[in-house]
Amino acid sequence: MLVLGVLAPAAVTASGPRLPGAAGYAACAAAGPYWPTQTLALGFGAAWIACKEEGRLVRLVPPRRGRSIRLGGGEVIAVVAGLGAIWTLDGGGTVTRIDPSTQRVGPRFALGAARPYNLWVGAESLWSVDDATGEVLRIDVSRRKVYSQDSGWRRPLGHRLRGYERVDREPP
Amino acid sequence: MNHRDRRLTRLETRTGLTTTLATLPGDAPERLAALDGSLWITGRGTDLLRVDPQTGGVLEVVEIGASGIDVVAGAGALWLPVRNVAADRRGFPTMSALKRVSPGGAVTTRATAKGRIDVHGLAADRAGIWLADNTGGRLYRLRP
Repeated sequence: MLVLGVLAPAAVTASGPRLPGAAGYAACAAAGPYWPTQTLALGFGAAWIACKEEGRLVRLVPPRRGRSIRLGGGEVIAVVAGLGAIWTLDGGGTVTRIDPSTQRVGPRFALGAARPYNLWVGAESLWSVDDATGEVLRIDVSRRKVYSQDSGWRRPLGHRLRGYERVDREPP
Repeated sequence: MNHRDRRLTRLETRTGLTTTLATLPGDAPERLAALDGSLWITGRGTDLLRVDPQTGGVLEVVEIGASGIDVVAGAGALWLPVRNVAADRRGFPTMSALKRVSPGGAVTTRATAKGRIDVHGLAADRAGIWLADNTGGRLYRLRP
């Protein structure tokens, strides 16, 4: 699915809140609940802002106007750039890939987390946390599989991390 | 870093080994950045902590105001939107000021918010320090 829209001009007027010394640009006012909160990613020559309550992204290259990218899922709580793409996480635990060149949305897959909390990129993987269990999740995006530490990084999903004990197995 | 029990855990991405290093001070350490060989950690009810990544030991506590909302490394320094006491009590990400902290721990106020600015996203690149306020619907860029 690919849905684009054009927002108002990026430059912000002098009214309203200001951060002196900083340039301000129109993005989206859709904060939703305060936590988790990781609504900004930089990458591929643009800023990507997650509009949490509206289930969409804004791609912004100041001072040009932003473009809206509708994701079609739930409330988007996190966005990161890396591994050749933009990635979002919604409140239902769905991860969605966005092509940074075409802004094409998808594919998407489920984390299996009861309370997904943010998204990070590192060591050639995506990472997330289930805030309900403290479980660390590693996502192999090429295989579209999610591994938990409790399973020795080999079984997908649903295996609760038992504290933070040592695990002596190879990651995927 | 678990913001509920404040445990700092090291996870080796190559082997999958994890080691609990320490229990951090503060109410809810939530955000961290790496700069100059140290981890820098802040969060609700938490000052800026400089932490040894090998041991988890707190090497320095940097006074930044009530508490930090987030922290990012950029242009050779740390950048922290910080709360005032009232916002800290409510737990909101409402910024009173943006602080710059040198690797040596020197703190300067880089900008003071005029009106309500909530920080839901923070990032840095060569173009500057970026803050996303999803309450007010604005993206701010500050050149270091």
